[in-house]
Amino acid sequence: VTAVVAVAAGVLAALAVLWLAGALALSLASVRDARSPTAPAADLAAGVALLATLGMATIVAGGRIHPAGFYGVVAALVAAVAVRKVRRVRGGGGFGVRATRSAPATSGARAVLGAVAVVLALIAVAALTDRLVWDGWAFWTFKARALYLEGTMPAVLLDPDGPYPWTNPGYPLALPLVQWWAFHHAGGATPAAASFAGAMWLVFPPLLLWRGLRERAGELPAAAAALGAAAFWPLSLYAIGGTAEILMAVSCLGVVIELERGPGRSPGGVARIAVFLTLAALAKNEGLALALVGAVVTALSAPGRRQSFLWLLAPFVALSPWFLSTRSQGAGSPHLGELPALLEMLARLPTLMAGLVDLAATRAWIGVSALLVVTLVAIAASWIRARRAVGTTGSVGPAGEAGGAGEAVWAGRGRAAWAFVAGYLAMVMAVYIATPLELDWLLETSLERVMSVMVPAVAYLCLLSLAPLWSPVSAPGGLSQGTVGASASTRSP
Amino acid sequence: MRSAEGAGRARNERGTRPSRGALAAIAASLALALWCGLGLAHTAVALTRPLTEARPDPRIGPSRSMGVPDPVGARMVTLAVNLMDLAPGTEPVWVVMPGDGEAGASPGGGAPGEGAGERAVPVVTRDFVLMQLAHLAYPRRVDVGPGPPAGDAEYAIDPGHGPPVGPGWTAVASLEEATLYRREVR
Repeated sequence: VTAVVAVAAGVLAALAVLWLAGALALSLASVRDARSPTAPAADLAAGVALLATLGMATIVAGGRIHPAGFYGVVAALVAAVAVRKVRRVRGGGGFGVRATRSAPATSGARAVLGAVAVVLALIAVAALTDRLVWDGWAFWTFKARALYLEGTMPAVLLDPDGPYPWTNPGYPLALPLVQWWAFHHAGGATPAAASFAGAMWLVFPPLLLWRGLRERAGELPAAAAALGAAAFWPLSLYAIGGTAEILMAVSCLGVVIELERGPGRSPGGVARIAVFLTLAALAKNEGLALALVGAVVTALSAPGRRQSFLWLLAPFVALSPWFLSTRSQGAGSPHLGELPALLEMLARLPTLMAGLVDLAATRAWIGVSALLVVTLVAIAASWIRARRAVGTTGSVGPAGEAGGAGEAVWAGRGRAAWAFVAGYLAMVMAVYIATPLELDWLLETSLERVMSVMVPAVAYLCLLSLAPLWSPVSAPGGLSQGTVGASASTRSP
Repeated sequence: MRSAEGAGRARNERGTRPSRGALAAIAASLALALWCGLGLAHTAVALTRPLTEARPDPRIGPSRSMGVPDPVGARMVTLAVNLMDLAPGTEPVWVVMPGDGEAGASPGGGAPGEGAGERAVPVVTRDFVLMQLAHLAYPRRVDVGPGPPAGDAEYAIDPGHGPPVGPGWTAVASLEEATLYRREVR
């Protein structure tokens, strides 16, 4: 028991240092906003992005990584932030914006959040018994163990024709570096430490859903969404399984929340999006696709901001040393290669669609599938009613007033967030269509894992779209106070 | 959720049946409840399952006794034995996994499952075993097979052929078929 507690304490300490590093870095860049729903995750994401960027650059440059090196970076950040704070206080400034915290008002929400805590605690305890899945064990933590033992990524592990081709030599190292960092604090490269580190990331989807939805959709729907995310086993399985999907899921949700809030409106909004996109790009190959889509959508939704545009280059700058180095050694993506013939790609569509439908109907997915269907129907109905209202009166009221559920989010900034998710989904589907690998095998081994990344983000958008059904004052930009089902003609100007 | 309240608000003017908005509120609430409820049930069941559901434990046929003091070494020996049983590209190894109780047939006949609730899945190839062995052995090389171990090997396994090593090697784990030796620190 003592050893298990020591592993847990070590991993928690390791992640706390990463969180501190990220919070300090964002604070130093003047883009930290503790009031943002994504703030806790953005801090840790920034810390991990910092660790991964420095670690991968060191390895590419032929150096060796050591925990003391990153502690030096943290110390430098502490000193820089302290100097800035002192100057501000002397100049009459305060200590900056602090988050205002308030406990859930309703007993129902408190009870549901209690259930969230219980679920997360049970998963964390299970993780301490080593719940690594095959991929987590065979190559994610394998790389982390190599880093732990060697202090670098040996050339033999980067050789796609070497003895370890199954480790995906071209994959970026954010997750193995987090696991390496955790190993050093947990007393050894044990599977339980890697598994428990993954469990700790599971806190963020429920936390961000709660913070992002409680004022917009109401406390009980927000708490229920948090519970749905905490109990969504496909995400939990791979988080404690030691794979990188949970990092991608947190990134995807963080980007969606910031996009929906309006990246140009929130202080540091674009920077936080860039941090999440950087985490994704440094976590997995498909994270680069997520970063590309996210950067384009963010740039289009917050135009005319040169500084914002520079932030959006961060994922690609951070990844470039590793990307160029591994690609020059021939370690590309195993999922992409010579394109099949067009007809062959088209012939894969039915198989892919069948795979998606089968997945959506499974026990773990049927609930979130139903939520998505209800949302899409509500959005479509609202859109049709709004168009009819325009046809009848020649104008339409404020966002949502004519349409009800779905319209408020769809008509506003939520459109960018939906476009981001849809764009990323399209890129993932394109890989399945164009891969030289055998499709059935690839679907069987990856579809649920890859799709689970988007579930918290989609749940957030669904709940926001459906919020008017539960709460009369929930939508952005002044949602209708009235009834969702009221006909547009009775409420249009 | 305030679905009842929403439904009440959303009744149409005649008040005889819920409007489309009320139905949507009910449907949304049900969907959210379904997501949470099924998720909780699924998670509760999944957490009680053994690790092998997520990470198959490769064994050929009936499981081999692991009553040795070094579990990692024993696992390496088992894998090495499995490896030696397989010619490259030939028949697969059977993996015993918890399942629906249907025991599969091992390549040599008979059921490889250890009991009810397990099933055998023919998915493992020589490459799979080699991969696991390499993982366990990394970064020190394991020499598998008869004859003196290679000069850079830290471990040596000689299935079924007796001790392959001379002075400077220590046995750390053994099964009926083979023994794992580790080179002594010089």
